[in-house]
Amino acid sequence: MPTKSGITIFLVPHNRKKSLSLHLEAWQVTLGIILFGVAVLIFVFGVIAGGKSMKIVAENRSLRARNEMLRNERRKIADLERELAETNKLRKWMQSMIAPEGTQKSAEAKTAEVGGMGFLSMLDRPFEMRILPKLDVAEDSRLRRMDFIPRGVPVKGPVTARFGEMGGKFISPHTGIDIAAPKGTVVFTTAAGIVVAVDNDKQLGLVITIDHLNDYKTKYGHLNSASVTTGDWVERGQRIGVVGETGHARGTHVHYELLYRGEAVDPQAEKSIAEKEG
Amino acid sequence: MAKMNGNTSDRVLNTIIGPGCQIKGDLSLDGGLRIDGTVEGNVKAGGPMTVGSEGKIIAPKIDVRSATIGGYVEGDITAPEKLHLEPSAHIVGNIITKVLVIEEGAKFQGNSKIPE
Repeated sequence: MPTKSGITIFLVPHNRKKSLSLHLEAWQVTLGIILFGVAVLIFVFGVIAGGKSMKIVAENRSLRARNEMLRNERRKIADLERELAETNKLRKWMQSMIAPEGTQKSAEAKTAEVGGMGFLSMLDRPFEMRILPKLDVAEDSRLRRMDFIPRGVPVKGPVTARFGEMGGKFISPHTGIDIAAPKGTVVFTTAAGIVVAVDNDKQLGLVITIDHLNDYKTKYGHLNSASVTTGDWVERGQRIGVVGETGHARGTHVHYELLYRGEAVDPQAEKSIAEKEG
Repeated sequence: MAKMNGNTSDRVLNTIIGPGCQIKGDLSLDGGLRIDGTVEGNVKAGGPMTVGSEGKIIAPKIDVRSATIGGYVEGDITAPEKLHLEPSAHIVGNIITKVLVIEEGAKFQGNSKIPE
């Protein structure tokens, strides 16, 4: 066989079996080498790309895990925000229950401050701190209690009849004070509490009774109209009606009565009582 | 003639006498060899020898490290390590070896000895 340049590959068994010889022409060898090179390159690149893609896959997995984690965090934050909103609502409501008009504003300011101080910084606080952040409970509750003690008068005007007065128009000692005011003058509460009665009394006409949830109750009589109904919560200084002349009255005025443990006391002397209490 | 690129490692098969090849004369090499043709003459090899089923040796003396024989061998064989006779083997002559394997169908006419 005339052979040009080329190679022969011999497979020689170490037993009686015939040996195999594979003859390759030069171009076949070249082609083989090229193919082999290409195969090696493909393999190498495959390995590299495989490694890269493995890396990407791993990265992808870790990012996915991280994403999931963040999503959970976000859900948690959303829950906490909802909770915070609820507690803020609750807090506002509680404050509106216990705070007078003046301090309510400051409480709202506190709430705003809380909202603005950055929600995340609050996350690592105990739960109670989250509910009522920066709320000075002791101070507030002291102020609260004061709000429930009647002070001052429901309308501005001259006192036409003092407490305990007798004779003249009264058959029995006067149980309150009469303050004259033009019809339609707004009547305000003297302390926070719950409206327990809006009655039409023969004597006192349209009369509102407020229980201040301590030992005090107040009554506002001869009103022309009432802007609250039984069961309403009222704050100190809240408008509850307007001056009239209903019931047994002469001239438009408010009959303001202060009851301490069920007994009428002098509203003008009430200050000393309040101070005793405070 | 039958020696390739001077590799003298005595365990390596580096010489092939292909089918149809006829050699008259003594063969001497350091490595191993395979015979598929016909050799008429003494064979001396430092490595293993394989005789294919078509291989044939006619010699007074064959001296190798070990041998696997599938063809026809006429002469005395010294293979100190091992001698393996395959089913198609046909040996006429005496043998000296430590380990002898004779497969079913192998023909052996002669004496066998264990080296001292």
